[in-house]
Amino acid sequence: MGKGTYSRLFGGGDKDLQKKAADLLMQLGKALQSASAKMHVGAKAWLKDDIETLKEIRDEVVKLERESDSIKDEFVESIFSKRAYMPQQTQERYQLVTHMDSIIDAAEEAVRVLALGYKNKPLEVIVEMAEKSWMCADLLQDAIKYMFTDFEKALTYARKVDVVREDARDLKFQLHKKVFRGKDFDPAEGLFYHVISRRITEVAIQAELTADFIRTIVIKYS
Amino acid sequence: MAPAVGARVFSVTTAVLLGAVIDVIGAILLGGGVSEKVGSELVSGNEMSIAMVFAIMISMAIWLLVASVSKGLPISTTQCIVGAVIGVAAVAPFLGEEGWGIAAIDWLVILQILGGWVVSPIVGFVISAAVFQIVRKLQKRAKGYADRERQEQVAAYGLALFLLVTALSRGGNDVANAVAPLVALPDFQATFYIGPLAISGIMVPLLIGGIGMGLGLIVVGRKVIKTLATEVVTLSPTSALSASISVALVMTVGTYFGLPLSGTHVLVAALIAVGWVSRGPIQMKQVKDILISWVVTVPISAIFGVIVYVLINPFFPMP
Repeated sequence: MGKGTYSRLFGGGDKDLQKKAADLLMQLGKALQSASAKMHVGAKAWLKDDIETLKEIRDEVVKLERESDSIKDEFVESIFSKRAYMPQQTQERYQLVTHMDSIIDAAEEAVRVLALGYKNKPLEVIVEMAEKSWMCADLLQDAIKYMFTDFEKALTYARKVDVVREDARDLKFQLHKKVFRGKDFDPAEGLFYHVISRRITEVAIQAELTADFIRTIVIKYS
Repeated sequence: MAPAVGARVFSVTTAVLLGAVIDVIGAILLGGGVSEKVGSELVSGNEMSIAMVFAIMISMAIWLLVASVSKGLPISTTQCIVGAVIGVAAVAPFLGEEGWGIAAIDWLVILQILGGWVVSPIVGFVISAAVFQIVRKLQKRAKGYADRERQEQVAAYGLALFLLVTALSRGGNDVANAVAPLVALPDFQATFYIGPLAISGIMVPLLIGGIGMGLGLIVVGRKVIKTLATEVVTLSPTSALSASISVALVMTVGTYFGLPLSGTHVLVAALIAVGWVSRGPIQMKQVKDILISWVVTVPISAIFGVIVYVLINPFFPMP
């Protein structure tokens, strides 16, 4: 019998693959934090009218998003398909990876829309929204870390993500009120602010969905 | 093997192959004690003719196959054989067999067996629920997901071990019940000698029954395994282990004391218990179908027994 055959028979899992999975998950977590942080920096650059920096950040976030897609593929092809975990845990880990990837996707979209609409009047509330979305991703990263070692702390951080996500939504509606009821913006600008606010808060929404998933896991196993 | 498939520890193929081998071993090692009760005491010690034995076995096989192949329903072989014996014994006087009829059936034994069918699922449910509650309390010591993964992994190994024990005792119980009419025949009361090796006569039907059961598991049983594994409750390695511990305990004790327990009843009740404790969904429609199949098994087997015996009796000359 070859290495891992007994594990394959009873679904116990390969230790080396599990270690690799832990490393990949850490890389994905760093990419998630980095992408959301760069989105915030990009929004600040736009506010300062530093378009060159905004475009550089856009390229960096696009690169991060491609790398995170590769990490997700690596998980599927090299970890989950090789029975590194029991079937139910494989499913749950896959869902976690997919959720994390969605946050990075959302950050990429937001930065690309920012870079497209740089000629519009920059608004400080958009930078504030980007900051809240970044904070959501940051808190989520802690929730993910503690999910593996301490369910109670994971729940605490998951709840904090919810709270900050509400703040981001409030800012979005503040902006909408200003744009749709005021007379300072033409329709094209109004459309841009509507789109960019949705894109930026999408990062917070995806972070909240991931936090909800973590809560589901904690409730299921505790 | 259904709990292991439901918890995704074994694939269906692995489960049926392993189960087949273990059933044969269990039939040979543990089957003797149970056979003596169901075979002879059911009909007040009357000796069944070969035609009667054939009729019982054929009618039992028909209903087992129909229920398994059509809807994957887990039917108790004990119930099948009791129903078939009742049917054959009841119609025998009309086909020239003296000393038979309803009066020849030992209704006290039937009542004891019926009691076993009622008691075993209740005991299975209670023990399984209690075991799973204890397991869940122990699981709460896990602080994070990594700890819980390790617990499930340990449970998966424990589950495999317990299922081997269960399959052994079930091999003894179910195969013995299935071949009980044969065991009562005088042809298998003698001792056979192969060189210096002396083999008890009842080993022959037990061995053949074990091999047949193994083949049946591989060919037909996989549908029943899928029903129990996926269509009653959702299982994890720990909940499946709790259910299996309960089944192994009840069946091992029952087999040791020669009680004709229904492993099927105990298993289904144990699975429902863990589903109930974990507050997961229980597919009540499937449970209802299974319960209905249990209720109708004895009368349907009896009817098949009557029909088959009437049809084949002309081919067996009277002594």
